[in-house]
Amino acid sequence: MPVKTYREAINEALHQAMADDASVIVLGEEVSGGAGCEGSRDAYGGVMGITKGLLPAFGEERVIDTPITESAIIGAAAGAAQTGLRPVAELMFMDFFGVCFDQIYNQAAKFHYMFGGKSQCPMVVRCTTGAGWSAGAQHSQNLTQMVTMVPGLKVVCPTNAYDAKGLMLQAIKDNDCVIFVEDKMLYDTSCEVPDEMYTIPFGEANFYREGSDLTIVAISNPMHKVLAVVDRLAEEGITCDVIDPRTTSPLDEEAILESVETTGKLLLVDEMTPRCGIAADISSIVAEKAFSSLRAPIRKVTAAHSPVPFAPNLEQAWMPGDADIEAAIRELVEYV
Amino acid sequence: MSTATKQRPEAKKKAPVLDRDQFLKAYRSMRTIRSFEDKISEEFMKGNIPGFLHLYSGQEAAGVGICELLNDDDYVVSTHRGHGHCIAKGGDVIGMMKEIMGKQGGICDGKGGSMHIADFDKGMLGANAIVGGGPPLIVGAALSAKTLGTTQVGVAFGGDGSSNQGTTFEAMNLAVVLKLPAIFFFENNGYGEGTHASYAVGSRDIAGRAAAFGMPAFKVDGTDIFAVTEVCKKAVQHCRDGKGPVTIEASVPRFKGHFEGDPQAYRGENEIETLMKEQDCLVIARKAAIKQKLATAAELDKIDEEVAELMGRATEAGLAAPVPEISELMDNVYSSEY
Amino acid sequence: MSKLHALTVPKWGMSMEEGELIEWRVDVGDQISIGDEFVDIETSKIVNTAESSCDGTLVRIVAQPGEIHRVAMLLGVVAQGDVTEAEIDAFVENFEPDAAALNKPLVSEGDDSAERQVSYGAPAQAAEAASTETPAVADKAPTASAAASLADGPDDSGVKASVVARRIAKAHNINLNNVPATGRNGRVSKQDVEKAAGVSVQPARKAKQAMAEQPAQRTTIDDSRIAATPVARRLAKKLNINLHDVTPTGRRNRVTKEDIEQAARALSGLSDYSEVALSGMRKTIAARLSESKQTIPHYRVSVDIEIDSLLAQRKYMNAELGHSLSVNDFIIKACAGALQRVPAVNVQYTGDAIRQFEQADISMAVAIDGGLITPVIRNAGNKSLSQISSEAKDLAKRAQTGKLTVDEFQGGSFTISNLGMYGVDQFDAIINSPQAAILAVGAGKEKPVVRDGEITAATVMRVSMSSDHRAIDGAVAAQFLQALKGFLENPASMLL
Repeated sequence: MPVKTYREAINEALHQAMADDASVIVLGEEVSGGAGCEGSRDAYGGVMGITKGLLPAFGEERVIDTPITESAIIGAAAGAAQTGLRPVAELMFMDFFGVCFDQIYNQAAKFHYMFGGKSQCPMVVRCTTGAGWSAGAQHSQNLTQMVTMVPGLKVVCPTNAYDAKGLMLQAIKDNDCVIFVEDKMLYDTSCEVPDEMYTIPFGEANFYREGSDLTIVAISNPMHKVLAVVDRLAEEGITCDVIDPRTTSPLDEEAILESVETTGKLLLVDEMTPRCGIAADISSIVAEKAFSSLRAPIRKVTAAHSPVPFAPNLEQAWMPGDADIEAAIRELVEYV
Repeated sequence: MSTATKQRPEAKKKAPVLDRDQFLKAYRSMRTIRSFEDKISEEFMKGNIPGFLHLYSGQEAAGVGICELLNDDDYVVSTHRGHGHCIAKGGDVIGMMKEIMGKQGGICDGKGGSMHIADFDKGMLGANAIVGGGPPLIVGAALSAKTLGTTQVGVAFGGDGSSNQGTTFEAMNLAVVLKLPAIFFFENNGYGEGTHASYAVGSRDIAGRAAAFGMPAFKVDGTDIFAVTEVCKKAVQHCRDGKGPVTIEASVPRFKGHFEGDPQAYRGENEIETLMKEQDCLVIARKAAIKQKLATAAELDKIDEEVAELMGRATEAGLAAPVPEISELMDNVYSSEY
Repeated sequence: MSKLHALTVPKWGMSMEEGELIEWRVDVGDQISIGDEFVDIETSKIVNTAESSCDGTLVRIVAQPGEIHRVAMLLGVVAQGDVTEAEIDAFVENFEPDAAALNKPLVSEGDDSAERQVSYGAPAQAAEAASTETPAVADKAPTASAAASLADGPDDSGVKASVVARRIAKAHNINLNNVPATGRNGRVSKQDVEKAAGVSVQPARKAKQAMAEQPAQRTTIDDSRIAATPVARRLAKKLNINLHDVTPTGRRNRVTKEDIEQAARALSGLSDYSEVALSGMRKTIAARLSESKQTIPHYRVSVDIEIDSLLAQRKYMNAELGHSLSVNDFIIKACAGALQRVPAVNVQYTGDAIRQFEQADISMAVAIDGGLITPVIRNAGNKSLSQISSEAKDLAKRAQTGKLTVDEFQGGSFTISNLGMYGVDQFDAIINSPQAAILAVGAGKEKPVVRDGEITAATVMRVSMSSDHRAIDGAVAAQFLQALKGFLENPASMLL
């Protein structure tokens, strides 16, 4: 099977979905780039290069460069989705949700419900997230929890290229507004990705590793830190169920609860601030529904409760790190 | 001055827009910005600067032109391309260098970086990584000035990109409604990231759109420090006189990419070379000053040397400064007890 | 097999499904008769004692304290006559719980609260198994025929199932085609497999294993059969240590007193230590200070005293006049003066009166090897600085060598304890009962002080006086410190 990067996988999914369904359009800032310029069009293909090649393939009618105008991008996508298109809107950095959040949580998320099921909003909002580039306080936040808490939205956060493609194709097919959260630290990671189209259903967790000592649930990029630590500890005989929920909404509670019922211990890792984050949410679900299976307090390893700092050493200290994860695993394993 | 503004423009032309001292000061500020950007570009390539850099090179006359007319207690809010505004407003160059390198002693303690550069001692309320984030803020700063009864002025820098944001439109309307001393200063450098203003600004007329909100709006050649100064004098005076907001659209070139490392495939052939040859505000200012006998080439060379020396010192200081203590991570999340 | 009988979890009432084994009342080898109480079991409602349903000798304990077992599950084995270990093993291996008792489903449909933790079998071993296949598994496999039918069927790798469900099915040789799916998106869930297989998979319990490693967990079961010396057993009882928690090192594997002490240290988390018997002096100090602290209502008042002038005069007196006065000598002299000026501090509380002394007899605390002693400078108010100085030196020297006579360190109406030479800023002293006040003196240190609105440096010494509130009120203590401060800041005034 061919090996592709996370970036290539999403790009391929978009190409295939657009070829497959003429109602799929892509819009956003710099989705091709160079609009109105003397030089080449498709100069960027998205600032992260995810939408590269779509413009030459599908033309300006379906690959739409917009001004920097987040509310209009998301609002236009929502309106188009209500009226027959399947827009994939790019918001660039997830931090920019602030500019256009009304169009997401008051508009797109609510159409189906508040109009009595008579309106649908089959759109995808792509955004990039995650610290690690010293991109500063307004270009580094992971705000997955903010969209996860909104009823009506579905939230996808793939951790590998295979999932990214399958989940993107599912997101485009889905008849609800899907927030597709791409971690910028993962774009260059790669794995085997089939050439053909395939979908991965929402709400079905992936078990990266299986084990008996504890259950670890990780979201987005921190998953890869978890895997590195878990693989190292496996040499000491410590084995873990490592679960990637793949979507935070819907959440595969069942898979997490089942695993906790067999291990009795739970570690949650994400790169969100600790209050009201995904880790906190899953922690409450497990405390509520699997209390009697727990053999140790639930542990969370998250970012610090502060804006993302700029200085690289502070940023690293802010993020959940390998050492934090290892310490938490050891603490749980040793907990009697 | 308040009566002077009522004079006919012909009468004003007799006085030079900038006298010798004013020109030399403005030139030094422009040169400082250019050298600063060149220096950090160099250090960025060496890996000494983390994160993203959006450089101001080419736009100096615009920012300097207006900031030279402002006092330390006048406010500016800036954009992601904000180093120039910070320096033009008199910001601490060494503190900025340390900040951009993520070091102790940085102007924001290494917490902000390039996109959040600020100098509150100089009324520079911060660069902003959200396009269109600044204009509503300057409405607030101008509201403070009006409410507190000062003659302070607030300037929101923006680009052709931010001119299209809803936040910008809302801010401009509110400033007119409340008759606030706010200047919306759009530096139209032709590009919102890699999209051309001729495409993204629907009417291709930022000043015209602003005028429709009900405020005076000027267009000016942003490569000409004298022209910028002349227009800004009117705008600042208009605000200080309590007559409400003003918009200025300055056309400027952007010599660099959207960010350092931008391959700029969207640029035309030889576009940058042509821009640098024909629209370099420093070259233009130099020629004009020598011609008007405001300064000699030797005097300007001396300024260039002094600035280069300062940049050397700033860079050394930045490189030598230690990184922040990890214990500082949680400092200043809140301003009071938490 | 008829000579082997099962001791099982009884069913106390219809709602009882499981119980936690608290304590065995019999040990392997004990005789047991029908109706004998053999084990304490706690349910969600009560702790009760189960009675034996058979006669014989207890030959095997299967379930351990702390484990939770379902009704009808095997707890122990009773034998009539001689049996071999192999026979017992076989009995345990083939034990089938009474079907009637198991009729009620463990987990009722759609009731999360019923998903209680249930553990069977040998949890400690299961916990050790790193294999992902074998978390503690709850029950025997279903009957052979049922198992066979569940195992049959086409390849089930395409059946949608959760990861955990597939894992359990594999461990129990169940073909997922035979399991009705009720999980998310039509998946076979863990619960589906458990239902089909009649098992309940729960986290492995590590508690028992860890207990052996970490004696910090205290055992509560009867330890009367553990061999121990009488002294060890007595000490263990006193320290509330169960002999099960003690590693025996004595002759014939007996627990010794030393073993108990070792266990006590481990249980308390203390590291190793040595003990030194109390000296007579130590005992006296302990008794008197405990009594003072517990019976006298102490309160403390502090004041900062600037001693630059004092130091200057001391320097002059020592350098120019050939004395060798210490700061402490000045303090003794000043205290005596202050006591004369504020005699209400120069008192003792006797229970029915306040005893007021005429002269200031100043006790000075002297640290000596193994304790401290308080020699007295009698009538210090009427003595010159040089007299006080030489007397204090003599007393201190003889205190160090243990040559004080009784009347030299008994009595006294006020005590000074000076730790200034150790650089401490301030401290609180316990009153030298039956006296009513003690002065604790800190070091003189250069500190910024504000004088006439200017910050300037001064040598500041902080003193704290602990007073017996029954005899001395706060204002009186404050007046005393005011007087003392006056004398020490203006040493010449002591001459008046």
